[in-house]
Parts: sequence; structure tokens; C-alpha cells
Amino acid sequence: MKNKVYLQGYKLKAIWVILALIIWESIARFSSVTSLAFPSLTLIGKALIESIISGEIINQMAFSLGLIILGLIISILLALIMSSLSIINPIVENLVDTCISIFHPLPGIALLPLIILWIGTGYKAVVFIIIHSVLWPMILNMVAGFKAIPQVYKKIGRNYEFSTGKIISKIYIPASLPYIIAGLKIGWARAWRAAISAEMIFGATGGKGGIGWYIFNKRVFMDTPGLFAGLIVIIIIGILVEDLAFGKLEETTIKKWGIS
Amino acid sequence: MKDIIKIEKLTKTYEDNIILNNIDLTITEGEFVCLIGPSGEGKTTLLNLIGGFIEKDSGNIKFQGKEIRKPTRDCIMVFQEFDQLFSWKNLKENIGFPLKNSREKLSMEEINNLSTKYIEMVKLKGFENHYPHQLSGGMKQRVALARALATSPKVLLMDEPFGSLDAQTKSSLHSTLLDIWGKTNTTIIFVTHDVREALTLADRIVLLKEGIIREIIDNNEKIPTDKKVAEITRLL
Repeated sequence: MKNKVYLQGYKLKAIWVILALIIWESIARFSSVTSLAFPSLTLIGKALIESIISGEIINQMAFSLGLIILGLIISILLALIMSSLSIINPIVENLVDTCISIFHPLPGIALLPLIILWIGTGYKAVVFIIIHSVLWPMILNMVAGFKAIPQVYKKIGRNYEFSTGKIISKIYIPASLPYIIAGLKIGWARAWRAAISAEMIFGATGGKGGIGWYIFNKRVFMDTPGLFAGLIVIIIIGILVEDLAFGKLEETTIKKWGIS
Repeated sequence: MKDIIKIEKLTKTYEDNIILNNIDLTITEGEFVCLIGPSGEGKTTLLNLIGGFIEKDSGNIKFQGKEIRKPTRDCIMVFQEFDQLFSWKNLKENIGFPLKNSREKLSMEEINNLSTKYIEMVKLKGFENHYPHQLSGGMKQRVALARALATSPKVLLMDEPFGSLDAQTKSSLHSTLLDIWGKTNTTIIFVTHDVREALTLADRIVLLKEGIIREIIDNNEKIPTDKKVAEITRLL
């Protein structure tokens, strides 16, 4: 029954996409809009296939994904350390709270001029922007998760004479997994945005690649079908990660444990 | 029988309210003691003090002659809450959890054998792979009991563990608990406000009211007659 509803949801989504594509193709073919601004699906498909065959789009995407994964891993580790220290020590909690208040509302893009000045325009700058975008919401979610753990779990940890490290690793982290996964989802989305924005600027000034740079480059040379091909790849990767990676992770953990 | 828990002149206050006032109580090895009294009269506070979860104001609480200052594996608590089981672990993993993380470094085979032994003891064979959300309230309390027993504690502290269960499930758990107590000879300190439950389980019933021990009743027969229930209820 559940699977049937799930499938119906997918079918409906597919219908919406097909409908949007039909409208798109109709505008491209039958309206007076120039193909430079509004290319047909055929042109976009052709540009996408050519990019895949030449390996250009795949290389750029691999470059971006590499930076995003690196940024995410560093952010997760930092968030784990800061959140854990924050629940152990009230002084650290205050420090972390202060950092969140200052840095969380600050868009990564606003830091770009400063980052160029301090780090330059290489991949390190992109990773820095990704970490800044991911770290703060991740800490917020982790700390919220740690604080939501039933008191009785903490008592059990103390009763079995676990060290603080063991209580965090064996009880706090698995118990707050719904919050951590939610943080990862937010982190992933923000990492994408940060990476693409940063690549568009750093790529243009430093000549480095990435899917952001790929899209920016296509616009510079007025290759609109190529630009849309880049966007399509971003959408596909987003759907795959959201539905497959995170979906599977939730299926095998929080849904299975009945805590979603 | 040797004394296992010795409480002397124990006092505990919360925001100027005296919860426990100059309590003296000695519990011997292998004894089953029920702490009974109206709600908010210090039963759970006393259990938490014996468990080392909270600090006393004055007096002594000793376990085998040593002052209790923090929770230890010698006195394991079974709580009232159903959510005391780890939701990310199945029934067998929940029971094996303290064994896997003990200082003794048991082998996987030993952990497996001990977990199986306690699963059978609490009559949950066949449910090993079930997660807590797939179990009933009574089954969850059975798992909590098995997990508490798995590390062979000297004292089992039980804080109204069957308080939220229906009469039939409660009765079945009483039989299981008495059966386990008979086999393991663990000292049990059990908090309840149910007089009939105390008369069913305990060797001795300690009546707590207004922060002091009103009476200690020997209960060797363990038959909760209506007369006895009425007598004790009158004292509460």
C-alpha cells in the first residue's frame, strides 16, 4: 500500500516534468523568442550529449563534487567536535552560540572579497566557502539533537560508567541521528549553492574549473544550450542524492528504528 | 546475610522543601525491598540517591561499606519510561549493549550467549530482531529488565517499572521478576505506589511519608489479601 502511494507520487512528478517539457518545447518552437535565450529541448539535449562525450561536463562535475564532499567531511567533523564540546562545557556552549549568532546569518558570498584577499582564488577558497555555509546550520541541528535526547539515556550511560566520549559516541550521536540527517540535507543543499557561486567567481578570476565555472563560461560565450545542460546535470545530481543517498540512509536508519 | 546498602541519617532537600528527613535503612544481600508511599513523598529521590544519580545534603549511603558518590555498574536502575530502550538497537543489541561496552572486554560469542540467556529469562525468545517501536509496553520493560540483569549487578533499582502497564501484563511481569530474583539472588529495591504490587513482590515493605520512614513491614508470605492491602493503605 505504502509502495503504491510512493509510486503514484513518482508518476505524478513525472507527469509534471513531462508537462513542463512540452510547454518549454512549444515556446521554443512556436514563439518569437530567440533560441539564444530559449533553446529547444533538442538543442539542449545535443549540447548535453556532446559535453558528456567530450568528458567536459563530467570532469567539471567531478571537480565540484570533490570540493563539496571535502567541504562536507570537514564541516561534519568540525560540527561534531564543536557540538560535543558545547554540550559538555557551558563556556564552550556560549562561545559556539556567539559564533553561530555572528556567522550563521552571514552569506558565504558576502565573504568572497575577504577570502580572495586572505586565501586567494584556488580550490581552498571554494572549500572555505563551503565549510562556512555548511558548518553553522549543521552545529545548530546537532546541538538541537543532543538536547532532545531523553534524560533517561544519559542516566543509563552514567549508570554503566561510560566516559563522556563514550556517552557521546555510543548514545548521543545515534540517538540524535534524525537531527544529524536533517542537518546533512541542509548542509548538502547549502554546499551546492556555495560551491557553484564560488566557482563562478573564482573560476572566472583564477581559471579553475567546476560546474559553476562551466555554466559561467557557457554564458560568456552565449552557449545557452550548454548552460542549460549544466543546470540539468546539477538538477539530476540533486535528485539522485536527495532521493537515493539520503532516502536510503533514512530508510536503513531512522525509518527502520521508528524515530523518523 | 550481609548488609549491602546502609543508609544513615540521610537528608535531601529541594528548594527549601525537605524531601527526605533523617532516613535510616539497612538492606541485606538478596533482599527484595519495596519503597511505597504517596506520590511526591521521596521514593524516587531515595532510589536516585542509592543509585548515585543525585547528591545528598547530609548523612551516609553506603554500598558494601563504601560511600556511594556516583552511579556504578553495581547498582543498575530500571526506569519507568518505555523510551529507556535505545531505539536504534534491536532487542538483542539492547541487551548486549552494556556487555559490549563493558570493561571486561567480552568476546562476541560470550556477549551473544549472555544476551540469549537473558532473552530467554524474560521470555522474549523469537523477538531478538525486533526494534523497540515494534514491542508492546510490557515487552519493552522485559527488555529493560534483561539489559539491567545482563551485567549481573549486585543491586537492581526499579523505579515504578510496571506503573504504566495493564493489570494482566503487570501480573505476568511480577511472576517473571520473582522467578528471576529466585534464580539470580540479586538484591532488588523496587519503588511503587501500588500496595498490592508491593505485597506481591517484597520481603519487606518500607512506607515513606512526608520524608520519613513511617513503618517497615515484613512480608514473608507475599500474599496480597484485601485485609493487608486495606491495612497498609490506611497508613499511607
